[in-house]
Amino acid sequence: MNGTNKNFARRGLLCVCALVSLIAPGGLARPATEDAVSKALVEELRRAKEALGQKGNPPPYFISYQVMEVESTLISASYGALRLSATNRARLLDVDVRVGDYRLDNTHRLRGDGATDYTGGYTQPVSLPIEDDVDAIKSAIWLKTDEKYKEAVKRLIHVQTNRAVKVEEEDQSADFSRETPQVASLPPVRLKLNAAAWEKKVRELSAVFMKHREIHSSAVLLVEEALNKYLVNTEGAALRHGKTQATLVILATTKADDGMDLFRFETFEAFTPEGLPTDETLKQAVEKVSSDLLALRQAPVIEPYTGPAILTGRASAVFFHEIFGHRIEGNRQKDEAEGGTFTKRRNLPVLPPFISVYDDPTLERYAGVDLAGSYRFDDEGVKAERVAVVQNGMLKNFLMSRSPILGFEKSNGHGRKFPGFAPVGRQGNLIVQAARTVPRARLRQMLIAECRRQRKRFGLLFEDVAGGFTTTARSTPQAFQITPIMVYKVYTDGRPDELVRGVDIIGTPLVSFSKIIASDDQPEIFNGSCGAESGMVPVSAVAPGILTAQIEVQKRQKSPELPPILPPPAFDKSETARQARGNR
Amino acid sequence: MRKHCGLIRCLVAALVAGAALSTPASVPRANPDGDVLLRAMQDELSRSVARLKLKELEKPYFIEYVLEDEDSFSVSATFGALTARSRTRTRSFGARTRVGSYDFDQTGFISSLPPYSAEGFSSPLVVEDNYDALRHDIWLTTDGAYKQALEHLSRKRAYLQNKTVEEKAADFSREEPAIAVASLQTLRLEESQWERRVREWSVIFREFPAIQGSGVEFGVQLAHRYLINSEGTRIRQPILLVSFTAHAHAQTAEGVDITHSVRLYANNLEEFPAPEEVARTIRRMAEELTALRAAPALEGKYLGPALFTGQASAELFAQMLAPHLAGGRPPLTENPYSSPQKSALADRLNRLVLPAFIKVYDDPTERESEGRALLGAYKIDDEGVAARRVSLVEDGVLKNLLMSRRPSKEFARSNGHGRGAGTGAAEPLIGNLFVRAKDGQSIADLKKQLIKTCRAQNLAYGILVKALYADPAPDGMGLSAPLLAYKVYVEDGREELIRGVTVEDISVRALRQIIAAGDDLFVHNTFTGNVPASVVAPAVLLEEVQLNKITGAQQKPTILTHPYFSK
Repeated sequence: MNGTNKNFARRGLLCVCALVSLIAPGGLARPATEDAVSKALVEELRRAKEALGQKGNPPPYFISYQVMEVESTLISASYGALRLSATNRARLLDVDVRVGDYRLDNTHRLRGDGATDYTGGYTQPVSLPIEDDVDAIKSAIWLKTDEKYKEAVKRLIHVQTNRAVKVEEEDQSADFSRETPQVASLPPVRLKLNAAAWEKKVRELSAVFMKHREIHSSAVLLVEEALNKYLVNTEGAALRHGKTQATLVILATTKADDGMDLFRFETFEAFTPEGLPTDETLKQAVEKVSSDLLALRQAPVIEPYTGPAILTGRASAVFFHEIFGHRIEGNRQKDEAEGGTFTKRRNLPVLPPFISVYDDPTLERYAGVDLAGSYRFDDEGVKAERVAVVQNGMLKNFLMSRSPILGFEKSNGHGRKFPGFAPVGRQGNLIVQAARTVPRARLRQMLIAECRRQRKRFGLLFEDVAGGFTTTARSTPQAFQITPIMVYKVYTDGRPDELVRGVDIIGTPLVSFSKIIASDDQPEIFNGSCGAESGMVPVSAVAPGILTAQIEVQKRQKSPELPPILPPPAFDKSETARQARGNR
Repeated sequence: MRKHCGLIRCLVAALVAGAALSTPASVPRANPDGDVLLRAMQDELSRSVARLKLKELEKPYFIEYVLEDEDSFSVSATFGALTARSRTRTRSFGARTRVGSYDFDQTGFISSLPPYSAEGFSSPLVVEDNYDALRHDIWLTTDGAYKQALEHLSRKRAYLQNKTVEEKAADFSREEPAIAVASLQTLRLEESQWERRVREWSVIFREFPAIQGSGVEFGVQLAHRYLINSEGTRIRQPILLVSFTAHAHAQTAEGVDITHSVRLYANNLEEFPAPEEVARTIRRMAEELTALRAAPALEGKYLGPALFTGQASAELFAQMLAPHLAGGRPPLTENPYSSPQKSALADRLNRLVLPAFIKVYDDPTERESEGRALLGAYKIDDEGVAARRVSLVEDGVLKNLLMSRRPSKEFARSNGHGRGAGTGAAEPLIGNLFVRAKDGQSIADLKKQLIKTCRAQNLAYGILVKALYADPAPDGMGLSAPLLAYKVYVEDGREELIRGVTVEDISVRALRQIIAAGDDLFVHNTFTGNVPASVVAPAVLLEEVQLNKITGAQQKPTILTHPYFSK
């Protein structure tokens, strides 16, 4: 078991485009009209509302403009040399125009063969000027508005026809909720990174991998992002708020002799680069990634297994995010193409009675760790709210965007998206709490006892996982798969734990939930990026370690490719000798 | 080519950098020797040649490394403000290994299973001069390329077990190794000055209320291109490319969208037009777009003579002739979704393909023509073969084709036209294509002949095309749409701009209908197959061309108006 660094959160899913961070503290709440972007948005919104109100047939009932201004620095190195050091700046505009009314508008889902799902649609965001020239910014907004308005009018006709020719919908909720418009203008956030110093650090860390002959590819990557979001809409919302986040990723890959691709990574996150760990801690992390990977190369391949297992906090957080969190996202309950695992289970048990779950984007830290999924306003300009999803095992609530579902008429501030996508209800910070816990050592004893009861020679211990995927559509099995990295066999006969490789967890959610026997008292944090129908959003999940009576694993598919033929150049003895002779 | 190792690739997702340097273009680097890149490539090549061998299988008989070490600056703006700027350093590396022999190897075959072909592996390299780090990346890329080549060779052999091949020729030509190590250059430019210029160029569109949207992009790229192979070739050449694009769009009163764009290229900043000249180019483009917006559409169809001048003529040859001058053989294929075609002229050697008064040759060794620098000039091609002049069409008769190192039945050797973009595999492409006509006439005389031809056919007007869209035709077939097309009235010779026309599907055969050519030569610097090229051609009069009115659903005109012009 390795110790988790308490000050830094881990990031399970690997994606450098992830945009994570902290909400800037303080700031006066005043209409966001001072800066060029806000001014351009407000003025164009007024013009569009007027012109389309007069000349549009039908006129729009809602228009919103949203800009994501992202400034990022990315530094990466391998084997002691930089691969990349770059700073990028962009402003991406999304335009939403709705015709019809709150009850029925152009975003209404079309049903039937060949009908396209509105929320699955992606519209290329408009690249706005990165300079503060109001006329130039405005010149890039109006055409997209016109285009989106025409699309909306056309689609409303499809919606009306589609409704007329199909059977009545299961869920007759409105298409758009009414919300109190939020007004806030927080100070913009900027990059703080000292690029030269971090280049040196990243370069040095990446050189450590050169010691290991068996590590094929490796990299150390640092990303700092400053993200400012602007939103204005015809209901009166006017927001500007920002976040910064620094992420350091350490990654190495190799191949086992049988061709199986193996990887190991470690990530650290903090609100600012200064908040990242000390050089010594980072160096230890590189060593740990190396030693784990080398151990994995030697580890035996596991055979398919069904039986009891422990998921430590860092593994169970991913487990809950994937198999539970995605099923409590509101939009999924309405879409008739969705499986609706939980749709009709409100006030019914969905988890063991000692477990409660809530999602709270307003939480910035948990046990001193920065939470990537925190935010103050969601991507529809709605104030983030803590949502008690499950109380004592009973389902109580869903994560809602402004798309209502039966019995849930309002957003609870979980409408989230990446630029270009339409927002849907997504997780922010998913927190799993256990009312009854045991110390970690006791959980292990319980695992061994459960193995004996089930007449198993060993149970499994999942210490680290690399995220996974889950399917929630009706047309596919309601299943999930998670890719564990560090998995140990825990034997009942007292032998030391044995690291194994090539494991994938499989199974169906309801079964897995019902088999949770106990949880430990050490909640751990998963900070990552989650991709779904509204694009990549930063998320966090916090969960204690759990013991489940039954988990099913399958063998991972392996590549037929052999490891490299020649040794790495730096480890080639004849090569070193040849060079020493100066015989190039 | 495919990327190596997926995980690392996502980490190297190209972004952009910023670092301000100063003073003009590219200057020689202080220490031209001790090139760590070249040394790392050479050492790993030697090791691979000596020892890269999988069990009992064949060693590679040929290994080639291509590397582009690139320092590029780019900036774009719209309506007076920058939309993006970047200064990026990248190194793209490609390893090609051939297994088998010159006569028969794994190339030139498309299999029915992924990865379909095995032309090589590519991957980004670290951007610092760290010998060990460079060799590590090169090692992994070479290993991947070799294993893939082995597998592909066995697939190709299996495929040929029960097939007979019509055209028998070797898979790779033997050529003399080339050694040309040019000194290293450093990119020097005043970034803020170029940013200011781009901003100023983009603000010109504020003078044109009819234009709905516009943009200006400018870039300078210094690439050191390395090529080394197991035959002893060792090349390092710095290549500077300056590129500029301005584009704009407008809408007619009926809601038809019209676009216009201009592109300028140069091989160094001194040859790039002065800022005022660029501004004039932009204004002319904006005026043309404004005029097009108000121009009448062609009524129905037009069938009759058409005069192509300037860029339109050069683009006609670039699109209709250049692609068909490629020699070599199409690959064998067992993939039902891929049916590579021979070039349309491949079987027409020693036959008439153009009017007898026209000759065509390609000469990458020419640096300039008509006082203008040629973009397609190079000394050594991307397979390390020295560039040379190739006479393609003499007195209208096809005499030669452009050859890379992939031989055909007729041509066993390369003629220095193997060109590849980045680290991609080389294919036969033009460098500087020259079209010359005997007894050329002035444009005025050509116009007279156009009118005369129209009169003979009882037409009220003929068509004059001064510019074509550079982008291919919407269906990917035939010629791209005319951008600036005019009716030339028979009665008084007046020109009237028309909009929204396309050229009915024409092929290389249409060029045989050239009835007259100009005494002018237009130098058109462009890109073909993603490599820089030049086409130098006179105006040409085609006897019969069919033009159609653009059809298709029309949008309604915009309801909203441009905020700047609505104040």
